[in-house]
Amino acid sequence: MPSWPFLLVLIALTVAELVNLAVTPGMTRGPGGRVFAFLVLFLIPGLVLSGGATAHLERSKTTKFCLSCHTMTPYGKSLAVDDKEFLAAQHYQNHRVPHDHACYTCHTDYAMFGDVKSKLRGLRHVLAYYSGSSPDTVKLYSPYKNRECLHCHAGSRSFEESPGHQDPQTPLDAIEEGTVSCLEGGCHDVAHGVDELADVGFWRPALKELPRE
Amino acid sequence: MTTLERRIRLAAILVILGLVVEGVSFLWSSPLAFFLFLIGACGLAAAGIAIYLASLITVGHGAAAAAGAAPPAAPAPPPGAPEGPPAVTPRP
Repeated sequence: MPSWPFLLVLIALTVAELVNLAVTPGMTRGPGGRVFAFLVLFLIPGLVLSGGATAHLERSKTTKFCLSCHTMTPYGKSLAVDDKEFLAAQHYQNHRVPHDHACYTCHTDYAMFGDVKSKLRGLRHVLAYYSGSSPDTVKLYSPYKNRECLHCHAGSRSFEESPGHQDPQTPLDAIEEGTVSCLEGGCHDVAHGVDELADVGFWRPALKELPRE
Repeated sequence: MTTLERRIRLAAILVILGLVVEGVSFLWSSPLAFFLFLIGACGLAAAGIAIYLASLITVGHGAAAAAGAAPPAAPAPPPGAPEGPPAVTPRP
């Protein structure tokens, strides 16, 4: 359940008390008034702001949030492609990633401060988007790491028993060490395939579910 | 109204504005809403909190009362009394 409705109630209550304090600041002359001022001017606003930051960070992980920029529209459409070669589409359509967190599941480094780094980069992206300096083609900052695939696939039976993963040319150890890339090793090289969207068909149910088309 | 009370009122208004902007930022889910929260809400509320905390340190209730109202006048010395502190007789 999202935390922001609770935060809205807390904000309304705090604002009501703050209006009371702003109208009669003389109440802070007594010890009780001083404690009240400390609560409504420092403690509760601090809690509400930290709760707000958490709520916004959670919201920024949603597919709807990512696809709210027009630059990302082709990537949203790629989730509905009717072709098994398209990796993102296969993951989305077969519920291998949650629909409401589809982008975030595969595109965040699972390391300490990964979230914070992503959000700082996101602020730069917003500035670039609204200043009109965003590039036509979106590129990753660094090559896609196997670690983000293995976060879910490592240890799963279907992954380990797959004929492709038992091939001596692509041993599991090399995949786990990152010496053979999942995406660039010639095996799963069509991730979103946004350049090919004009030539492919779309799976209708997924098209309806997409937050932005 | 004392200096401290004036600053508390200003701090309360800034925090109110910050919290209202935070509430508005929850209305939609987009990067702009996140920006509005980070710069608008956090900026205003942090300014209000900073003014409140600074006023506690720099003004204080005692000083505020002194600044807001004139201190009571010292009692007038009786007529004929010497000015200044009484002379102290040194001990031998």
